[in-house]
Amino acid sequence: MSTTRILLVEDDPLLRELVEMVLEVEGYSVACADNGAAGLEQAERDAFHLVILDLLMPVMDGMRFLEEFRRSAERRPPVLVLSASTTPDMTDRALRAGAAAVARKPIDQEELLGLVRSLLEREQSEAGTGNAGKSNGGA
Amino acid sequence: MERAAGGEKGWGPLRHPFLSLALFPVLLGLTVAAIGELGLLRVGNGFLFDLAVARVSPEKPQVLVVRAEPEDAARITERLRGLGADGVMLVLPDASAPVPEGAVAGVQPDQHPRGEVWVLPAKPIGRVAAEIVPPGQRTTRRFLLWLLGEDGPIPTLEGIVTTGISSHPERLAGLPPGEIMPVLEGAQVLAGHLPPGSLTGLIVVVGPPAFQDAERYRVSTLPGAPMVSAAEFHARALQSVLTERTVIAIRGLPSAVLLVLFALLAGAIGGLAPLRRQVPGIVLAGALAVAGGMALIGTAGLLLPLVEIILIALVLALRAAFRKQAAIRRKLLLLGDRSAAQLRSPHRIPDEERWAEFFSAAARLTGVENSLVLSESAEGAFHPLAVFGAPLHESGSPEGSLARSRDFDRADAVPGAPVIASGIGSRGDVQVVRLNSRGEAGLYWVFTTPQASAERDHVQAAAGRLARHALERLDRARPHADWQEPEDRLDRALSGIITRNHEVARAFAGLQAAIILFDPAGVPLQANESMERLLQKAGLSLSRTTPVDFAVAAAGLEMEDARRTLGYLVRHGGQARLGTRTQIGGRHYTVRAARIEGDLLFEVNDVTELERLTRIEAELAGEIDAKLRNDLEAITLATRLAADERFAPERRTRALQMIAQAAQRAGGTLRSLDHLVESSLFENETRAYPLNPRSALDRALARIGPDAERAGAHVRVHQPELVSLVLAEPDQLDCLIEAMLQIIVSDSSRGSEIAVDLIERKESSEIAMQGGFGLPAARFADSLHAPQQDHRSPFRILQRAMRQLPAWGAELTAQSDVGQGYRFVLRLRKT
Repeated sequence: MSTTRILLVEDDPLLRELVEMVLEVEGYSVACADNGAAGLEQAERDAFHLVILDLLMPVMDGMRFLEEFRRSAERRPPVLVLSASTTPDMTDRALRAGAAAVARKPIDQEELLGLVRSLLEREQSEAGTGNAGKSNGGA
Repeated sequence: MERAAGGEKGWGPLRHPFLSLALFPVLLGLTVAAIGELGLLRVGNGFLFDLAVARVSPEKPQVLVVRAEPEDAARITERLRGLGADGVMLVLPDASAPVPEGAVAGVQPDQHPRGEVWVLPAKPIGRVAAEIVPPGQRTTRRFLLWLLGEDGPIPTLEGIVTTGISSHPERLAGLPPGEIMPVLEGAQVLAGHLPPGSLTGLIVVVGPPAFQDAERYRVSTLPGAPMVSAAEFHARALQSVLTERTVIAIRGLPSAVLLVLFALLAGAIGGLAPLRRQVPGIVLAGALAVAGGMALIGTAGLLLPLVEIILIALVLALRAAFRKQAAIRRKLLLLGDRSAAQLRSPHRIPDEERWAEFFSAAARLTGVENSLVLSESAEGAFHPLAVFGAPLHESGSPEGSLARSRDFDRADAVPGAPVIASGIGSRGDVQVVRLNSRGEAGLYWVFTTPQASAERDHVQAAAGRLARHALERLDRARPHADWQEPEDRLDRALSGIITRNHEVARAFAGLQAAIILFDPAGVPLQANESMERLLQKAGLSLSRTTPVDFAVAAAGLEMEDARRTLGYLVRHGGQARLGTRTQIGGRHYTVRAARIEGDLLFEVNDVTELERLTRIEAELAGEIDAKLRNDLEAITLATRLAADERFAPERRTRALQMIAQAAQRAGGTLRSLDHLVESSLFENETRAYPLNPRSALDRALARIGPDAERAGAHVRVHQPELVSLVLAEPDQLDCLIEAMLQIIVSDSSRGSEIAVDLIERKESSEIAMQGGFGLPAARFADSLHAPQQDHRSPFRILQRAMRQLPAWGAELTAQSDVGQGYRFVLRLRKT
């Protein structure tokens, strides 16, 4: 049984470690990147079922990551944007750039996991029997 | 003879002031001495005597009181002799009581004429005495040691048991209220339990206990002094004699001489010292004499007529105060007469510089060039009070000989409204306006207007506004005017305008903002240099600008909106932001209008730089917001993880560490935000305007009044009628004063007093307030400096206002202690 793999792109080390812990205890496999450029590299190297993305980051911000991420391949896993600054304008831009959902920090554990599960289920249903599954994600 | 005559001539002028200086004090001294001899001031002197005696430390008792009924007196006396008592005094309630053999019997000497009742032998028999004190009979501290009998002095009871004969028979016994007398019951003495010789060295007073108030005597006039029986009263008097606490009261001729001497001394101070030192000098002399007198009670055993001395000092001080007032009034009247004479003189224009200054300002504001102010005498002749610019007699009216024409009648019809004076100026360019109300001698302002009709209309309108302004001020000065002459009032009104203009101009010169001040009639009163430059840039003329014109041009308002907004401000007060980003000459400005002291003030601030800073601050604030959200997110997630039992203990510990890390980081972010906000955002809002501190105080008192009433506290306000303008931001000053009052009122108990004083100093005005129960000093200091969570807390308002004080040049001193209440002193810099 394959594991649901999530790519976490977040520049704040504290938050990165915490989100990783939250997801791992639920059975997800998490790979981390500390900026958009590193995240793109990871995404090119490995296959992920979901990307969790911060917007304000050094080197390459989340918006640029979204644009590059969508441009480089026809089919991409859903991207959940988690950002501290989400004005209506920025939310709209992120959604147009290809984000599946936008959530504003602070977000609690249940809400985060709920969003992750719902996006994964939607992805699964859209992809039919798709190539990604999860062992016990969302348990 | 010649020398004698010359001497008399020489004495003539000298005798009179000397006599007048000495006569009153001598008469006063003698009168007060006579009042003292009548006994009218005895209670007061007794009180001062008791006050001095009360401070004496008690000594070892030398007198014992034995409470016993009269029938046991003989047996007890016998027993006391056996116990070694040094002397025994019997205090008997009536004459029928059995008296031991050898005792002296008598009554109080001041109750019966000398020699009538006394049955005393020529020589004392032993040391046993008896005194009959019927119930209700008065016993006083004044007693005699001996009386003069036919065969020489006869010692009284106190004299027999104590010292016997002395040179001065009348004494006053000092009875400290706190003195404790040893008391034994008669039964204890008769029981025989006391060892022989145990009373050696003691004088024993035997008498019945007092069961009713009528039988009791108060030992002192001081509040709370004990009431004792007649026997104990005598015992205390004896103790006083034995411990040398008795005094001799100075009475009669020595007292009169002393009082006359003091009155002469104090009178000399009152007559010879400079005017302002007379009252303090007399009061000081009285205080020193009384202090010396009090000291003499303990050191020399003398009681001076202290109340008489106080009375003399008081009368002389009041006399000196009245004389001082009369002298000041005389000087003022003299000054007034001189000033009035100068003002009325047709040959002299008073205070030319001041008048010139006023009309120079008037010309600048209204466009008037030539001015003449005329006063009309009772005979109908005109006299010029001031001339400015080209003399108007060039228009056909020689100075000093203007006759009343129809022009003046027309000006009289509507005071404050200029009319064309065709009789004075042949070209129709001269106008005249009446400056005071009808019903009194007229004051007129004659001025020239420019030839061009557009200019003329404008100048006429502006001059009319100025004239109405002067008229209003003259009418306002009427109830307070000491001088009835209208030109005097005009002079004073103009002085007020000029002084105020100076104050306002000085204040505006120091401001960064461009400021213009209009009077309620719309006449521009003041504008600082920044405003003049700005008006030039905007193409506006200072003398022609009205408030509405200014609001339209500077704030970009529609004419109707400007009228409505400014009308509201004039009627209701307050302030309004008229434009937020008006662009003049490529820079951005904000325009604010406010009603201050009845006038309309416009403030224009160049906010170009501020806008740039605001943008930077907004970006910084956005970043801080993002950081805080990350921290909050970390805390939210870590909190759940730390409680999740699916994690190993070391990972849960790690989650707890992350909470601490995130909290610490958030704290740092908040501190940097706090610094940013406090140091830059609010400092840019700091402004200061000239304003009347009394109005601010009145407003705060009115708002706090209901709270003080609910608390049952009485607010005592003391403030001068006229105060100078000070620099402050009106709203923040109101808030600050209210916050200080709020702190005191909320800590005041029913019936307590809150003192509020407005004090004028040389460079500043002080608002001082005191009251309430108070906080411990350390806690109060903490409240003043520690962050306050509640936005409505008066301490928070105080904290915020304190940060603005340096920008106003003001200072606040705050003190508190438990039981001492709060004391705030707000020192505001004068303009």
